[in-house]
Amino acid sequence: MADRDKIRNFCIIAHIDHGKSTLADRILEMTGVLTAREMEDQVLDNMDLERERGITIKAQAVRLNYKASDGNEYVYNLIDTPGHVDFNYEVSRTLSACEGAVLVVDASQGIEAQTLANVYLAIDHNLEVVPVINKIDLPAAQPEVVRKEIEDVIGLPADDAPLISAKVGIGIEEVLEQIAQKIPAPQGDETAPLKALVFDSYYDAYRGVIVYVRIVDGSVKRGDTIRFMSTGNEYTVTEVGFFKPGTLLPAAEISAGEVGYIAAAIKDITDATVGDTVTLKDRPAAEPLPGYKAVQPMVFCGIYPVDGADYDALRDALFKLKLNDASLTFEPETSQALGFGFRCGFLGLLHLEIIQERLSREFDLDLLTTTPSVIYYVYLTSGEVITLDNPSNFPDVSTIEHIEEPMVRGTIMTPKEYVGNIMELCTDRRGEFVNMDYLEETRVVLTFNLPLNEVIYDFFDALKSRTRGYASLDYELIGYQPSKLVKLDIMLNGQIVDALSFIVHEEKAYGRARKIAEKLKDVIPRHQFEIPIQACIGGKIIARETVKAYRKDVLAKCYGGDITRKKKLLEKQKEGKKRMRQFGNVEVPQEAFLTVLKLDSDN
Amino acid sequence: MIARYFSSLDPQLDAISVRSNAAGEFLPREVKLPFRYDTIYIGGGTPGLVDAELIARLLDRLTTVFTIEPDAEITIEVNPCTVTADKLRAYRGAGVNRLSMGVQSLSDRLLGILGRAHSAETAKRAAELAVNYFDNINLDFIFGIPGVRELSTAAPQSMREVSDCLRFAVDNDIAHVSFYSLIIEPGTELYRMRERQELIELPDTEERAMYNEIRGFLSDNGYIQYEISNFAKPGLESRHNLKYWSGAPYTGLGLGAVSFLPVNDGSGSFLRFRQSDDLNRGTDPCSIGTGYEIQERLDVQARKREYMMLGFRKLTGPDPEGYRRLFSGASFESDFSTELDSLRNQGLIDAGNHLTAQGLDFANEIFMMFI
Repeated sequence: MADRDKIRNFCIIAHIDHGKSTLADRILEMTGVLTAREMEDQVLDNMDLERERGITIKAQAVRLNYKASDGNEYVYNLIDTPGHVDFNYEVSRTLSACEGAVLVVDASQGIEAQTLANVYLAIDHNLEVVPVINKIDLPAAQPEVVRKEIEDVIGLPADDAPLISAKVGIGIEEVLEQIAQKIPAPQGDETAPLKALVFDSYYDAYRGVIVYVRIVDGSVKRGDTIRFMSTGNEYTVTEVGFFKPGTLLPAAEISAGEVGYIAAAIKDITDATVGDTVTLKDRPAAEPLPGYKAVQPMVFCGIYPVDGADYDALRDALFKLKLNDASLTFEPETSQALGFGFRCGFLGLLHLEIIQERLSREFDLDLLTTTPSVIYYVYLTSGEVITLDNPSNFPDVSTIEHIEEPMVRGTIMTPKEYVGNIMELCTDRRGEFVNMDYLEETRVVLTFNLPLNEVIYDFFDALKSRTRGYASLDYELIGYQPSKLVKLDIMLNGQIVDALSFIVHEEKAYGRARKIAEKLKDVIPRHQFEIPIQACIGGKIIARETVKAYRKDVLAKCYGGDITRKKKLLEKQKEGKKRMRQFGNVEVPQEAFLTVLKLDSDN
Repeated sequence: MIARYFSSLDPQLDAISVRSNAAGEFLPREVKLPFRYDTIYIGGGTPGLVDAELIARLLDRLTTVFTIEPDAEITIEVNPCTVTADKLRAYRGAGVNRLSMGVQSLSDRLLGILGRAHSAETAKRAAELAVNYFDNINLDFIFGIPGVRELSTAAPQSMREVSDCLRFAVDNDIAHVSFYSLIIEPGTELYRMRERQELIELPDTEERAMYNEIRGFLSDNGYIQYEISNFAKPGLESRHNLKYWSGAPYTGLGLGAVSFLPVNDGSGSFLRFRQSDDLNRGTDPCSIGTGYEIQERLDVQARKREYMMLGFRKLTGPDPEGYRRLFSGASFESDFSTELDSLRNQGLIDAGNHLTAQGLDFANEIFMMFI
């Protein structure tokens, strides 16, 4: 059991690619938890996908020992946070488990929207922020400019911010020293009733759910009966302990100020949700820790196996992912076009993409995804209000009083020369300009209120392409507002393809309909007959294109009995057909479904 | 048997005569080499280039090593540029009884677009000369040739230009003609030109109209269309090509030649293998093969599928009798009832498993059913 004065609970916050995980690696190395040879790069990001994308999806924690220059031995609990807006709530809970944050800023890139968002979040949680300037070894590094930026933009003193290169290992010692000196030790009353904040969890096949907790007050040990305060569910603790890189270290007890885990043979991860407070059944806390909220998915889409025979495999895969991801929701859904699949709910687009990629990568599933949707509130003339997350359930227009859609406050940070482009983009996406602030001479922060359904609709790509990748975006939900929304259907050869339907603002319907029809015309291969592509709202056709019929499909001359070569060509052709979806007698390639997802107005 | 690129005889031919599998360099040990042949095709584009004497010696060797049936169809493939009266006489004397010539077109501008060395006049003269020595002549033509944007005449091939070819064949009483729909394949100059948008292509509808005109004209003039691209006077269909389309074995000798031969284990499997043509790897250009690559091993099931696929190149469709013979009494109507029903429903074949007009245009759809 560590002396509480010598405990430092902290996280590292940074923009993607600014070197958060590399710094974590170096810290692990320096504190001797792992030798360089033992560790795989970026130990904390231990999913393949996380490593590839350079992002953190699930929080990770690790306990380290550090002997500081003051002669004292410190216990460091380093908690790695997810770094993306989709996981803002998770980030906020992680921050609640810490007293300090190491802010990593890239010496060549400076501060980005996400950095700012996370720093403010940290300051809101009363964290001591320790700025660090990374990548000083890069030729484009401007550490002094960035130092000034930290002071001017964030308002943090940065005169003694360590100049480091996590990659080559410069300045890490200084970071470790400042953690000990600047970040306060945890408070808390060991004798008070148990209050433990759940900041993450994962499913372990042998021990059940491993609940990541920060003990705020009291203590917990094996054999205790714990209670989750949001649900009242109770479990007997089978194990408590601390985090070692890649493993768990059982301990007799964990108490106030500590970061550790509790295992209690919990079967379902949704019973240990992030933000909940754990207390003891026999001596419960009077009230839970503040800030708990049930996580609500914001973005929905249908996920279907390309091969109908994979339906069971897809279901099993979703259950497996759900074991470790309480925010993923799914329920069976049937599409006329795509057959049997699942309606899935996600925290945001990145979350959606991650799940999609994990399904195809880890479970080797070939999938089709429908246009993402947000949750609309549909007020019916009958007085009833329905929540709508699937265009297929769009009620008859005559029964609709009005519809409300979710709005977000978007914060965009950009070099000032792109302001015009961003203004244009946001206006085009029905954004309402709120504010513009100069961070410094060359960089500004733009604030817009935007409909979420426009943001999930390839907004990131459009933003990146209009700012040559320089702008960064952060957003938060700010509520609902009435909006003139319609359902746009796409008909192929006279038949509605339900998987291509989506909900769109009336004013944008025509433009988008035209573009989709044009794109579909390019991606749908010619058939033996002519295929009309029509976009319509409630039966009224607003755009039309035609895929002309092709008249021949024959092979070139076969020379000298080399039939194998011909067969290979045919196989390739057939393989291409197999990957298509049959709608009536029209074969539609998977690309067609992506077409409606990615339709940047510039292309 | 197919012989390609021969320019001299090779000691390996003698090795074959001693023991079939002794010539392991060009023949997988597990296959059985047939010794009786009733067709020989001396092809690969260039046999006309070499001295006719060599062709005579080749046939002489083959006759010594193998049993060649007395009425065997022996074809030589020639290029119009290489045809001379002397050569034709020598081929004839050596036992060649069929001549196949790649004319492609009788329009100089189209021959230019196709990258052919000969002129229309050369092709005409060669064919007219050949008629004096051979009754059984095939002329290869191509239709659907695109125009090239920057040429003074930029238009694609016209129907009139096709008619010139048809007329020529009929006037000279040519026994056999083939009209191939031009397919621009990757790796060719035309493909690159298309990528650069330098071509003016014939719209599909016109190309098909052209095809139908060709079919109608030849039918009116006594030719029978027996395959998608092949037309012959009655009884003069290419026996050699029909072998490919009926699952028969064949032996390919020479660079890049392909063989399809039964495996010697009673399983009914066949191997398709191809002689190396990689001169950089030391392949002797004059050999019958100094290394082969197995392309495909076909068990009975795969052979059945291939039989169907290739059978549907013929207008009469796969032959039920041949299928029964090859596959110990089996019936393709029952083996492939689902596939055949689907093809009938799509209108690609008729109740008697003949290709329909639609089937001729979308033959790949039929073939893919059996891939």
